[in-house]
Amino acid sequence: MESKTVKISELLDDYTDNEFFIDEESEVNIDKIKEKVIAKVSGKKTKIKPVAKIMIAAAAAAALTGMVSAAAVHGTMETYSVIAEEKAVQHKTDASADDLTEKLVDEDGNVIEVQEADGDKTQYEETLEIDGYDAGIVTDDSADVTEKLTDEDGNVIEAQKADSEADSSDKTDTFRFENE
Amino acid sequence: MTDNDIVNGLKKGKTKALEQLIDRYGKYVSSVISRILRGRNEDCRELSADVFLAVWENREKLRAENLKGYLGAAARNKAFNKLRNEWEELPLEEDMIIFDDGEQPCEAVERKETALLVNRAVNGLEPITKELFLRHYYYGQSVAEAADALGLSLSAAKTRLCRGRQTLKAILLKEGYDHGEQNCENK
Repeated sequence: MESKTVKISELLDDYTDNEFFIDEESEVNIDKIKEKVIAKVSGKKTKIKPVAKIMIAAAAAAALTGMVSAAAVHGTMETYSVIAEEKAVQHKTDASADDLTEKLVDEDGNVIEVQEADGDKTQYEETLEIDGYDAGIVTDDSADVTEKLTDEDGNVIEAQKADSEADSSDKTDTFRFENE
Repeated sequence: MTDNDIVNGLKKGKTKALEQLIDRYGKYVSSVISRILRGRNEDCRELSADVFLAVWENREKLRAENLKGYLGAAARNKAFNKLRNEWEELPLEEDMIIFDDGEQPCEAVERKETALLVNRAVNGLEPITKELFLRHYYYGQSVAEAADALGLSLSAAKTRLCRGRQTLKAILLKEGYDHGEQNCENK
């Protein structure tokens, strides 16, 4: 035979005592209870629920991640930009250096190369043997680029070479071919 | 302001309604707790505040009907839980009514609202037995304590409690108390 039990103390949860011990004996100050409850409730009203807190934290984290990523991308792009700029400058410099390379070709088409790559002010002298001529090449920083070719008697047979390149305008190369 | 107004105010989140609830039932709640805790004003104040905070937290589910009963039950639970933490077991004499298989109150008569039924059953007890019954089972007083308060001997008090349990069971069966889903399984 199956039996069921009911706890009397739990059963009496549904009972309302309107007869015994009502409004008596308690020395508890109701105003203090009220104060405490209202203070807690008022505090709780403005409190954010845990779920909302988590969502806000997640959103903040996502935003932060986004910012960091954006910054990283921006940084990378800037780096690329700087690298690209540097490369462009390097390229330009190389190009300029190429432009600054002056080639002197002799009568047979042999290249006698005189190079001023990075715009440094250099002066050098070298001796070349060109058909009995000793070519003394002097480079200085004077305003005009002049080439002088003199014959056996010392007469100038070829006048000058004015450098029309803008970026080499600050250079003056004087080539002096002296009779050996 | 009626209980209905207070409950509606609470549901709208008005703290003014909570204040009115405390004004109206604060004394009752603290009296129930105080009786169970045998004074101890500090604990009583703490638990009373907890009851009203619980009401606030669960205000969506609150019903105006039997608001006082709801508060009383909440107060009892808080106080008993406090005692259980201290004593492990409440000193209640045979805290149960046994319904045998043949006794199917939910089949016998139409279901009625539990609170109404339990109140009617307790109020159907003989006055001295009812007070003894409530002191012991509702307020958690020991049999000796309750007997002493009513000027009864311990054995006389136990006999009355036993009689009270039988009467309560008989009333519940007669009134059609539904003592849980399990009891209606064989419907």
